[in-house]
Order: sequence, then structure tokens, then C-alpha cells
Amino acid sequence: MKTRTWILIFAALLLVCLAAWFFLPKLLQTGSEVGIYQDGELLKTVDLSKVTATTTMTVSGSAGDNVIEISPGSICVRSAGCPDQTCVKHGPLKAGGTPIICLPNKLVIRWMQQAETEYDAMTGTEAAS
Amino acid sequence: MAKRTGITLIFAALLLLLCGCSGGESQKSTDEFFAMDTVMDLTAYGKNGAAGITAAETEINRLDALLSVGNADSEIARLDAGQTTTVSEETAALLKRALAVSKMTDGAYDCTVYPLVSAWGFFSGDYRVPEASEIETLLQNVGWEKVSVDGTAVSMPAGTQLDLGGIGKGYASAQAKKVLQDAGVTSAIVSLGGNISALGHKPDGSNWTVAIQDPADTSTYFGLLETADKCVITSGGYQRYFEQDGKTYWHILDPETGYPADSGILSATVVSSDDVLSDGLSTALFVMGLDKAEALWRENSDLFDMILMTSDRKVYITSGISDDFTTELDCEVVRP
Repeated sequence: MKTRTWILIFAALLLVCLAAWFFLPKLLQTGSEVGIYQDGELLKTVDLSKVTATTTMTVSGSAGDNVIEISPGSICVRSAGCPDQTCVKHGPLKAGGTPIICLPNKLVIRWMQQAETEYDAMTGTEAAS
Repeated sequence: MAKRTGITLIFAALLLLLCGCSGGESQKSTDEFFAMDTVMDLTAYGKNGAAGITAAETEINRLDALLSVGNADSEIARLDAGQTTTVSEETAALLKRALAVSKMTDGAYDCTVYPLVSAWGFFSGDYRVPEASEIETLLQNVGWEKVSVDGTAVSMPAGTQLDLGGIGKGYASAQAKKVLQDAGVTSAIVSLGGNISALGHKPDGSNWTVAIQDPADTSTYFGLLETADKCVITSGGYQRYFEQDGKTYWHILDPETGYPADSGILSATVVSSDDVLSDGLSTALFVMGLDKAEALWRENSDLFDMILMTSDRKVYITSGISDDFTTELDCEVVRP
């Protein structure tokens, strides 16, 4: 084989590897899959990029029902049976933002692939008393 | 030809290494579970991480059962119900610490505020604004000076009730770190309902970055603190509250008035290597307000540092940690 062919193969390989190195972690971070957990158990995963119509899902617990609204590209808790309404006030799940948590019903809605954040932990989230 | 093949192989190996190096992080173990009426997130690094985290979860659940006022069989619930006057050595030691923090903060943190918090519905979730006369009556039973601990014997007047919720999570994070260390873990960070506590440094030897939650938008933060081997605990009225007739009532009560503390502080963060102290102090600083908090820090600057946000969104940070903190808000450094 000619030297020029080898150089071309190396250059192509190098490009593919460099591209994978730069873009793969970013692709993994910005996933669109969301997990709905109750008491640590995964109830359902939803790929928000594949949602075409708005639907709701109801999760029941000791504090009544949480109605989760799943719409194209977005997920939030529409209503909750507890007096706190912390999960409703949280609003939609933001990219790289804090998970939606309902303490009384032990419900957690979070990204399956957590985006790389600037910090290791955040204070004050869902502190009880 | 053989030489060229050799060079090719070396190149191929180098490229493979280049592709693989982004996945070369230290082994990470995580766990999320509900306890103490909140959500716990534990993260530990290294080969002992998974075993350490399992042990830490067991320890936190043990403390929940021992200390929770919501559990009728807990030592604290039995004390409050008048069913016993003696407790385990562990609970007695923690009660003494609660009384010490109450004394240090001149009652801004008070471990006997339970009947009031309960009357406002902050334990049951059935929120209500009690009548002024009801608060007046309940206040007569509030006061840490009414409680004394002698060995494992606890004495307090009938009607006075204890609750270690204000320091319980701090004690739990201290114990969780101890258990993780016993399991051989040297790098871990735990969040017990937003109380952050770090064991050692990050696996690469650098400091942890802890975000301080923004009271105006809890999905984001107003500052970043670099720290290691310390806990960072924030108290704020935005964390649990209810609205009635257009007025907001939050869960941190002023033990002197019986009403939600309104000192002009939106968020009070304490940074210290003593988790129990930090937990009690963050509540106390929120109650006492800026001037008293500054005075308390000047007397105890060897014990803790603090980051306060006032209602005009101005940030005050003590000089012990001001070099490790970044914020885009107007920030004033408090000096000794």
C-alpha cells in the first residue's frame, strides 16, 4: 500500500476519534429521557423528544394523587393531593435543573442522564425543617 | 514493511487511548432514599464506596427511628409523651448539644419549639394560622432553659416538648461520614434534604463546589462555594411555607414570638466542620437577623463561617470563606 493511503487512513481515524472525544460526552449529557421514580423504584421512563401529544399520568401515595403532565419536550406535576404543593410550584423539569420531588408521596422526576453541572451539590433543596 | 506495521500499531494504540481517556473517572457510587421526612442523596468514590453507602443508609435510618418525633416509639416521642424520663447515652449527648446550641444562640434556635411548630401544622402538613391566644398559651411551655439533662435522665415540666429536628439531620450527616470513613471511604459528599456535607476532597484532590440555592428560584443558585471536609447548611423561609389571605407563613418560627421569624434574612448558610452546630446555627441565624448574626460570628469565628442573603438580595459573607465564594450579586465581606 502506498504511504499516501496510510496517511489518509490515519487522518480519517484521527478525525473520527477527535470528534467522538469532543462530542460524545456532550451528546450523553443532553439526553431527553426522564425517569419517574417512587420510593426509589423506577415507574416509567419517557423520552420527551418523542412525545407528540400531551398526556397525563397519575401516581398515588399516602398524600393522595400526583398528576404528572407529559407534553412534547416538557414534564411537570400539574396537581398534587398534599398541602405543600412543592412539586407543582417547581414547574417543568429544566435542563440541568433540580429534580421535581414530592416528599409525602416519595416521588422523584429526574433526567435519566444528568447534565454536567458546575457544582457537586446544592444546598437547601427540599429541606424539611 | 514490518517497521511500517509497527508504526501503524503504535498509532492505533495512541488513538484508542485518546478515545478512551474521557471515561477514566474514579469509581462512583450513589444512593437516593427517603428518610427523616426528606430525600437523601449519598455519593461516595473509590472501591469501598458502595459498601460505605449501604452502611450509611442503615445508620441514617437507625437515627430516624431513634430521634423522629413522628415515630411514636422514638426516644424523643416517648419523652414528649411523658412515657419515660431516661434516654440512651447517644440521645442524651445529642440533647446536651441541642441545649448548648440553644444557649449559644440565646434561644434563636430552641429545641423546645415543637408544640408551636406543630400548632402551625408544619409537621402534619395541615397548615393553619393559630389564634393569638393559642400561641400565647403555647409560648409558656417553650424555653430551652426548662430542660435539664443529668447523665441519661431528662427533666422538663409537663407541656414542654422536645424536638431534635433542627439538628437531627446535622447529626445524621456527621454519623454518615463516620460510617463511610469506617468503611474505608476517603472521598464522599452527602445531601440530607439539602444539608450538604463533604468527606475529604474530590477524588482528584480538588475542592468540592457547593451551590447555594437561590431563595427566589429554587431550581438555581446565587453563589458557588469551594470547600472540603466541611458541611454547608442553608435555612430559608422559602423551603417550606404556606399562603393564607395573601400572606406567606414559613416554617422557621421565632421562639420568642411564636410567629414565623421575620428578621430580614432570606437565606442563612453556615459552613463548618461541625455538622450538628451548623444545622442548629443556620436556623438561628435566620431567626436572629444580620446584626446579631454578625456579632455571634465575631465571638465564634473559629467555629463557623456564614453566607447570608438579606431581603434586598444583598449577600454577606464572613472573611474565613470569602476567597472561596463566587457570586454575581452585590456581596459584602464581614470581618472580625
